[in-house]
Amino acid sequence: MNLKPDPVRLEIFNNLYQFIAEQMGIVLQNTAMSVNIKERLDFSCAIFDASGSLVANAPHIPVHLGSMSESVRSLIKDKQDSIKPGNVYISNNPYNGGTHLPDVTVITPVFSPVFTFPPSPTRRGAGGEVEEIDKNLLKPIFYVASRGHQADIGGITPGSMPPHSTTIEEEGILFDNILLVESGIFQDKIIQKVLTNHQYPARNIQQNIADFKAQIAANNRGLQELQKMVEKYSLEVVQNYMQFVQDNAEESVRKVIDVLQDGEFTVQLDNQATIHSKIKINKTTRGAIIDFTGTSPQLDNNFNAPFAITQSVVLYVFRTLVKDNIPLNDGCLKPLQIIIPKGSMLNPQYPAAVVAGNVETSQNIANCLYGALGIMAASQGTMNNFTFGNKKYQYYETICGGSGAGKNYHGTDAVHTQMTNSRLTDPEVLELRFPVLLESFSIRKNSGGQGKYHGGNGVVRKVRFLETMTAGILSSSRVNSPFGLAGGEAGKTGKNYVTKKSGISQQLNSTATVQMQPGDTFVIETPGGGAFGKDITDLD
Amino acid sequence: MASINSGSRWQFWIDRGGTFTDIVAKSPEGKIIVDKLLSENPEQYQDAPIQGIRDILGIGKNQPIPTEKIGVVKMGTTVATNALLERKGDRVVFVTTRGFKDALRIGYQNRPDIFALNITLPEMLYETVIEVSERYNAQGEQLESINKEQVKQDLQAAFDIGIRSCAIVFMHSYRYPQHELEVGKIAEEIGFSQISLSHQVSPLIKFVSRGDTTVVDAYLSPILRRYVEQVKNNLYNFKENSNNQLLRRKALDPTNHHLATKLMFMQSNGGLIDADSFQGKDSILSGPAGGVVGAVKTCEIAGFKQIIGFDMGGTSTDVSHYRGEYERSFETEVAGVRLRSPMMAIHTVAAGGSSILHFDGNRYRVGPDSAGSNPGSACYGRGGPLTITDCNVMVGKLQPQFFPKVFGKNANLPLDKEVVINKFEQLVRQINDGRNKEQIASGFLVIAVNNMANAIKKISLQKGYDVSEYTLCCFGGAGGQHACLIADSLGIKQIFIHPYAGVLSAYGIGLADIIIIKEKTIETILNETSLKTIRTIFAELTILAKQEIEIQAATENQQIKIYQKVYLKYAGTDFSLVVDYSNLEQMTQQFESLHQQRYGFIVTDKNLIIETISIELVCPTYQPEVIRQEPNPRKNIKPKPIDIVKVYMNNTWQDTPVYQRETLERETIINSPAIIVEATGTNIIEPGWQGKISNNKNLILSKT
Repeated sequence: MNLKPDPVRLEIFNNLYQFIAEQMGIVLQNTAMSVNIKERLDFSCAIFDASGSLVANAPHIPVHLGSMSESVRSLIKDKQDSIKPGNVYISNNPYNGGTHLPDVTVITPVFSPVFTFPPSPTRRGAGGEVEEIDKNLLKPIFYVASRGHQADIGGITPGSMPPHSTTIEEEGILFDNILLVESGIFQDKIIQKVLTNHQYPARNIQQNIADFKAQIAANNRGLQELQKMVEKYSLEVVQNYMQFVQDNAEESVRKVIDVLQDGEFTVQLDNQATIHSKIKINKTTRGAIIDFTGTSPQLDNNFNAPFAITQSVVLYVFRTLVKDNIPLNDGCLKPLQIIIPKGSMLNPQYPAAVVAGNVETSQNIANCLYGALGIMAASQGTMNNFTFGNKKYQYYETICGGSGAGKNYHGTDAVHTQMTNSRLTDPEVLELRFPVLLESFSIRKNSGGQGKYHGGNGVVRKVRFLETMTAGILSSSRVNSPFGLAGGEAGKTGKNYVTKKSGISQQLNSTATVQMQPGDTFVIETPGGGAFGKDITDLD
Repeated sequence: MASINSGSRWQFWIDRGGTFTDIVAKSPEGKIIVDKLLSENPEQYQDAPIQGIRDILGIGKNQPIPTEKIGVVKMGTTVATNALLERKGDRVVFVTTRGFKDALRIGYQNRPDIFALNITLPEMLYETVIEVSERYNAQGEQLESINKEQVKQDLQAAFDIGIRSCAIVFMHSYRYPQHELEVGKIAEEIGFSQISLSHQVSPLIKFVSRGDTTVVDAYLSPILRRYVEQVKNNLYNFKENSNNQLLRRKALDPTNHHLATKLMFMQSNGGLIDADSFQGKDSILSGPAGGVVGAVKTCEIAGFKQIIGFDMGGTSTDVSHYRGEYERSFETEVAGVRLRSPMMAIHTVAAGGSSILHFDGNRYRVGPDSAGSNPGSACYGRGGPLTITDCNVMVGKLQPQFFPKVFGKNANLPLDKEVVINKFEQLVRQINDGRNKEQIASGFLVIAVNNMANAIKKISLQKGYDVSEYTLCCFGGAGGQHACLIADSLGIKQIFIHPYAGVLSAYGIGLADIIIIKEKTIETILNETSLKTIRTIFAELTILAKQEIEIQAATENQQIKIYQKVYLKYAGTDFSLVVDYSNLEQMTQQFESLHQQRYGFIVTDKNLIIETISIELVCPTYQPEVIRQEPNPRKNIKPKPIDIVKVYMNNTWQDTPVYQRETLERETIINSPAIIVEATGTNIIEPGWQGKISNNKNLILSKT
């Protein structure tokens, strides 16, 4: 292998891999039927090398970053020799590379373009003679994958985000590297059976299947573009540069590790569980060990976060430390050794419930890592997942809050932080489509922590119901406040409550389900961010 | 109309850009004169467009402009765009429904850069907020009436601290505007000079983006008003506090066609509008929209029907798509502000001639930062960094001897090749990858071309068309240097470069039509009943638009074309597609075929929703005379080069002839490699391409 990359080609290939992932995303967005994928862009597409390492991806939502390579590696491990051209696999298993059940990943292996489909053990040579093909060549050269958030994948509540699930069964359907397409044939019957043959079956199978097909189409685009690339540049060059772009990303991360300090931090969740991280910097190898030993064992609620989530948060946090537009791939993770004890809430085992791990625990893992590095106070530490609905209507939103302050900057008011960045429905559209009235949506004054650099303020959102509906809140930082750093004050905790039509107020916990009557108002006050530094008068 | 198109008076078509002001003038005899001058040059002149007019007419500094000789001045301007970018608009009070004072600040709650720890959001344009106790629900029930006394008191307080501009945005006003009108009236009584009501600025659903648009309008319209006044004063030689009010009134009277010079501005939607009706929300893409019109109109005359507009300037490149109809987007984000107003669909790529070269130790990177116009590229001789333009100097595609001596600290030196060579020598030592100067420059060029080609491919994939069947219409200062390379990497086989490619935006502004667009949110299921409703609304909108266009142009109606469009979408989704207004069956059919083409599927069990309807009134202002030239009897003319220079192409130095475009005869064939220089640009014919001067003097490059 040519050991030194050409700097011009490095940039061109870097952009090309990224561009292929983006093209997959465009195809997915265009061909998907669900609003979740098409309009809220809750999806991610990526390409991987033969070992399942992430080469490039195009994420809209940070928590999707890098968590897919675990899914691809699990497929390689599980299926190995049975992976053939024309096959496509589907997976969402949180104990095998997945994050939570609604995020379904579709993986397509890519084979060398000399093998046309259907696969044949022979091919015709230049002179028309039939050649035997080396069986070793019949291995995937790359993988492409797309992950989309399903609006519903079964489970005890519509929308598959149950606030009170205690086992994975209650959260919906689980796919564990199942064949979605076999030898070019879509496995309609099998997939329908999996979606229906369940204690809590999926509620809109037609839409699930339409989105799966869109994911297959997106992967196909990636497959074709990669094969074109191989034809243009040769397999060797394409594969070499897949390695080089990872090496390049690795080097960028090692550069920032150079200037970091050891640290340790604990974050407590509202349910008393704790996340503990210890970061040890090795200046000689320019690497870091991120050790989560000391984190609470697996929980009996749904705040467990599968391994892939923590990996994704680590990747995100270290990427934010690099103040440059670097490629995002598994090279970034190479200098980082992640230790998570099996059976802890960050490495849960079947049948632990996990649905809040992706949206809530992930936010607190991020806070914990920034705390350990001593560089930023806590952001709101929740996504404030708010759902409501009845037979006719279903709605889900996440609500912004305050961001944490850092060494030389204030936190920001009312903004999505860390592992999410999803957009909110416009107030007029919300009121037109659902029988609710938005009484107010404003910045929650003085909720950010005070200090040399103050934390960002949260928001107050008041939704009045005009019909009887069930509403649910899945949130954090209602008991424990987002911490300050270096002497800075903590941000204010959030609050959930209902003001009944009669005027009586009902306080709610971090997670709650309530029957709303016409005239009742659901109020969510989201947490502020923590402050950084003590002395306000010291501010320059 | 006669006054606008009058052949006996001068016409001036002007694009006042950030760096340069381009002027195309048409003399009473029909001769076209092109000029380019710096937009800002306070020592020499106050206003570049006026100076340009003076230069072309040969009018001295202190002499009045003979406005009776000028029929019309059509302008595109970045005055408002710059005020928005630099946050230098007027002081605005934002008046809104109780509970929503922070709604624009929170917006849709997403952050612009997901990897930034210090989250920086765009600064709000309004200075203060008034919350009004009032409320309609989505169905139009008044839940709470206005507390007028309180509003009056609050508005007066804002007025008393010196604010004169207000933006009034209430929930659901796009359909139920009564409260906005009432509060608007109160503001008028108090004496606000700019009152933007959201249902008039943008009668479309979506509180946040309609609200942003209204605030922008209140923020920028006063700036435009003042600019228009300034241009008029300069045009008519009115001094501040001039006593000659009578003459002024006479000159500005729009019915007085014999004396008045008509002053029109280009809007973001691609249409012209009378200066006095020019609004802030429609001004943001004034110049670039002129470019799209220029590209489309010149290509149509030349017979090209599917085009990619490629306008490569200094800091950025604007890409547009055309296949028979202007494409507009209803929601555009500019400088962190959401604008809900029809604008030309222009995709801006952050790469241009002034994009800076970087080497991070491992890879070559281009931009996204730009050297701008000051200090500019290294070759400008003012201490600037190496850029894409410098790469072209390095490889010999740009030759200093063909540029005017306007560079260096005192703007009197030629393009500085020396400094470019020195800087590349430094880069050779720094990069140390075995490449020499010209190879490094070529490397950066390849990356820049790839970035732009990828951006164009991405847009085409999003919209579902095959870019290789299109003609690349290339214009803007840096377009011709990269056209062949971009086309090659897109699989495009034909390139069109108009004689005025260097000033095509200004030319397009001259060719543009007066356009009035009126739209209305409907949000109802498509059926026979709703069709009846929209028929009535179409009629109402048409009357409104006709009134406006009549004031604009004082023209005869038969020249006006009316387009009626319906925006349809599946129930429960947010992305609509545009169809022509007709019967139920035909609209459904057109929607489904568009949906199939763009998304690859249709849905049979979902209702169609009429999201918005719009009408567009189009009234031409100028038809370019297609000069029926006798075909040149001589064919395959071999051109005479004015020079032969060394250019590094295809990894080797090649002897390359240089031609002067203006002297090339029709039917001339130019083989590769070649450089064709013209007054406002440089065009490169790369190996594998051949150039031809067409009968209309267009330069057409084809793949051989």
